[in-house]
Amino acid sequence: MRVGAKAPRFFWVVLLVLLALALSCGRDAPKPPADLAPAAPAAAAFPVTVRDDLGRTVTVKTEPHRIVALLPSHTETLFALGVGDRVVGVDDFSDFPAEATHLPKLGALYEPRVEQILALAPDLVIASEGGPAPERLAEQGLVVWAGSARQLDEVYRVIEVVGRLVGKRDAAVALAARVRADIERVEADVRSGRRVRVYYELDPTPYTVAPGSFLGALLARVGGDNVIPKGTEDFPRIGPEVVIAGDPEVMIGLTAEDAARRPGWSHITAVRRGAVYKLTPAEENLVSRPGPRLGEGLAVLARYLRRGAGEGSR
Amino acid sequence: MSGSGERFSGRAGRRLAAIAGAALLLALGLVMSTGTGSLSIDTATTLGAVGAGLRGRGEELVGLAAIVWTVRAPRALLAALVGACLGGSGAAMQGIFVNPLADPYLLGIASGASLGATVAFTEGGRLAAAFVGGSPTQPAPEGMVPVAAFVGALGAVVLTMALARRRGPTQATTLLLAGVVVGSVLIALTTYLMLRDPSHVRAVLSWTLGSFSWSRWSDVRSIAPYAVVGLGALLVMARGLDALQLGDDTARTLTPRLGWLRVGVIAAGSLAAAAAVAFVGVIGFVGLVAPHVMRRLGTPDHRTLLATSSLAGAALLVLADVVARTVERPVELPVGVVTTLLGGPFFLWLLRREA
Amino acid sequence: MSPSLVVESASFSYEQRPVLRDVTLAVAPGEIVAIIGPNGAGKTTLLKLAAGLLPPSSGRVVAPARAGGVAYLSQADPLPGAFTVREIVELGRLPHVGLLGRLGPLDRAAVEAALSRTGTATLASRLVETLSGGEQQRVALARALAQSPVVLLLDEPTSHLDPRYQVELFGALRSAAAEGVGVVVVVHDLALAGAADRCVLLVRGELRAEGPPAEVLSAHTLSAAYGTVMDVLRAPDGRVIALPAMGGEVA
Repeated sequence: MRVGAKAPRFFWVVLLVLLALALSCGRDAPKPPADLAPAAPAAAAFPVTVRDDLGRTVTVKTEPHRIVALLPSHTETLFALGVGDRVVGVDDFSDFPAEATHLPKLGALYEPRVEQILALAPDLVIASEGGPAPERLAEQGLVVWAGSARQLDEVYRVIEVVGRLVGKRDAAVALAARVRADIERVEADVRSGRRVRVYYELDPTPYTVAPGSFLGALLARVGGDNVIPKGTEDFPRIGPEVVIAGDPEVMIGLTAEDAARRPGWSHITAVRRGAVYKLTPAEENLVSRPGPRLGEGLAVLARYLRRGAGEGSR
Repeated sequence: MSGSGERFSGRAGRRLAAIAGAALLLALGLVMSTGTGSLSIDTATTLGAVGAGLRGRGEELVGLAAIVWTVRAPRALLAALVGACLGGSGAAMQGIFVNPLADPYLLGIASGASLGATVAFTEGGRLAAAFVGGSPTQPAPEGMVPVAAFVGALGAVVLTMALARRRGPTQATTLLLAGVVVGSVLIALTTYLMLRDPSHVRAVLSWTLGSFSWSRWSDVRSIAPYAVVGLGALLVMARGLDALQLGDDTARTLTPRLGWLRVGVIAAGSLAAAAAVAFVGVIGFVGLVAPHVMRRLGTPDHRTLLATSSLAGAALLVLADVVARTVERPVELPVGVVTTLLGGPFFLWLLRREA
Repeated sequence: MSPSLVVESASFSYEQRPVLRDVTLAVAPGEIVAIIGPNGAGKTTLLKLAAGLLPPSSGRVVAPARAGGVAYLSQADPLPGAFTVREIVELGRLPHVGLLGRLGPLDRAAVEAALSRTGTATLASRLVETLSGGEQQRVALARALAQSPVVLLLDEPTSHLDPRYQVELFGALRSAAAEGVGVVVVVHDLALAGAADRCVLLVRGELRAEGPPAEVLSAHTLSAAYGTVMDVLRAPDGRVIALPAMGGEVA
C-alpha cells in the first residue's frame, strides 16, 4: 500500500480546514462598541486638559478608573454616562441612583473627609467649586476638577466637561442633548398656559429665592411669576409684607397650615385656595440638583404650578 | 423721694424730663414702625387702618390696610414690649451687680435660651412624632421653640443661682463667675447639638439673631403679662437696689431681707428677659445701652431708672426694627445684627466720653 | 444704764482659721468706744459681728431690735457717684420707710438734722462724684446718722482724711453720742483713740485690754501689742497720744 503518498494530501486538507475555521471565526468577532472612537482617535481622547470653575488647569493623563464625586449632580452625571462602575466614592448627599448609596460616603461640601478620600487612591476627583475640598485634595497630589452649574444653561457644559474627563465625550453630548430635550418639552407644555404668581420658600425664617437665582430661573421657565422683585439678592431673607402684597397663587416649600397661621397670610390667594405645597425630599433633590434629572425637576415645578392655578378655577 | 423746692426744678425736673423724653421717643418709634416697612404704604391708609383696628374692626381690613393692622402694628408693639423687658432687666442687672456694664444675659439667660431653642429645633420633630404622631423628620411644632427657650433661659438662671449659693468673696462676684461657668457649659452643649445635626444650623442661627418677622397679636398678648409682672415687681423692689449701691454690708443693715430681695430682683428681671428672648431670640445691646444712658440723662435712683430704661429700651428696639426692615428693603436684616452694628460703636463712643 | 449693744463671748472662724476668740464688748448709750490693734487682729470682724453682718461661731450678739437701730459704715465701699448727697442720705431712712413708703415729716427732719450735723447741708444738691474724699466720708456718715440709729458702727472713718475733717468727723460723733447714740469706731490711728471714752485693744483675735484711754494706751501694753517700742505722751488738751518710737528697738 502506498501510505506515504496519501499523507501529504491529508495534511493539506486538514490545514485548509483549519484555515477556513480561523477565517470564519475572525468574521464573527463582535464589532467594536459604537461609543469608542475608531483606533486612531481613541488614542487621542487622553490626555485631557481643561480649565475648571476655579480657573485651575486640570490634566487627566489616562482614562480614569477610580473616580470620586463630591456633589450629587456630578454623581448622577457619572452614572448617566455609564461609568458608574468606575466611581469609588461619593459625598454624603449623593443618593441617586440606588447604586450610589452603597458607595463609601466621603463627607459634605464644607467637611470633606480628606483622609478617606486619599485612602481610596482616586485618579480623578470631581468636586464643587465651593468648600475646601479642591485645594486640600490638590495639595495632596490628586487630580481635581472643581465646578458645577450655577445657572440653568451651564448644566450642558458641565455634563460635557465631565464626559471628556472620563473618556465618554460622545455619551456626554448625547446626554446633554437629552436633558435639553427634556427641559424643552416641559417648557413647551407650559407655553400655552398663563403665567402663575408663585412664592417659593427655602426655610421659615423666611428665606426665599429671587428671580436671578438658579431655582428662580427654573420657576420662570415653567411659567412662574416670582412675587419677589427682580434684582433682589439670590436667597433673600424677605420681609413678609412683600409676599402678602405680591399675593401669590401658588406657594411651594411650606405647608398650608403653617401659611395660614402667619399674620395677614390667610387672605393670600394661594392660602385661600389651598394651593400651598411642600415638596418631598426626593422632589427637593430634583429641583436643586443641576444634573441630568433637571428636566424631571422642572416637570415637578410645572405640575405644582398647574395644579395651583387649577385650584382657582374650581 | 427727693427735693424741696419747685416741682419742675432740679432733680425732679430732670426725672420728669427723662421719663417724658423716653416716652416721646417711644411714641415716635411706634409711629414710624407702623408707617414704614418692606413696602411703601401711604399715610392715609396707615391711619385709617390703625383707627379701624382700635375700634375693633381690624379683622375686616383688606389689602395694604390689613398689612398695617395685622403685620405692622403687632410687630411694633411686640418690639416695644421686648425692648421694655430688656431695658428693665438690664437696669436690674446693673443694680444687682453694682456695675453699669452689666446686661440681662449675665446669668446665663442667652445661653440657656439658645440651648432650649436648639433642642427644640433638633429634637422637636422627633418629640412631636412620638407624642402626637407624624413623621419624625417634621420640623418642630410652632409653639415649641419659644417655650423651650423660655424654660432653658430660666433653667440657666436657677443653675447659676444654685452654683453661687456658697458665700463667695462678694455676692456679685460669685454670681458673675457662676453665670460665666453656666453660660460656657450651655454654649458648649448647644454647639455639640448643632454639630451633630447640622441641618438645623441656619434655623438656629436665624432664631438666635432675633427676628420680628412673624409677630402677631397673640404674641403681644402672651408676652404682656410677663412684662407687666416682671417690670412691676422690679419697680416695687427698686429702693432695695438703691441701697445695694452703698455696698453689700451697708445694704444689709438698711434692708433686713437683702438676700431675698436679691433673689426677687433676679427672678423678676429674669422673667422679663426670658420672655423677651423666648419670643425673639437673643438681641444684644438694648439691655446694656438703655439703662447705661438713662442713668446719666435721668436720675439714677432705681425707681426712675427702671421706668426710663424700660421706655428707652422699647424705643430703641422699635427704631432698630424699623432700620432692619427698611435699610435693605425688601430684604430684612435680623434685628440683633442691627442692634449690635449700631449699638457697638455708639457704646464705644459713650465709654470714651465717660473716661 | 443697760448697754445698747452687747457682743457676748463671741468667737468667729473663717475657713477653719480662728479670727476672734471669746471676745466680749458692751456699748453703753452715749459713749464712744475705739477699737484698736495691729493689722489682722480682727477689728473689722468684731465690728461686723456687732453689726449682725457675720454670725458668731459661738457666743451671741444682742443688738437693738428697732428698725435701723444699727448703722454701719464700712471701710472701703465707695458711694455711687451719680446720686446727689440728699438722695444718699435719704437712703438712711430706708429701715423706717420700707421699700414702698413715702418720706414723712419725721423722715425729712432726720435727714436735715443729719446733713447739718455733718456739715454737708450746703452740698445737698451736689452729685457725690463731684465731692472730695473727705466730703464723701461725711456724706456717708450723714446717711448713717439719718437712720436715727441706737448704735453707730464705723470702720476706720478717718483714714485718708485731712486733719480738719478728722476733727469735724469726730465732732459729729461726739454730738451724736451726746444724743444717746452708742458709737463704736475702729481706728488705725492711735491719736484718735485717745479722744474716745473707752478703748478696746484687740491682738490676734483676743481682747488684750479694755478701759479708758489713759489705761489702755500705756507704753508697756502697746509695745507688747504692736511689737515695737511705743511712746505715750499727753496732748495739751489732756488726750493720751501713743506714737511708735523711731530708731527704737523692735520688741
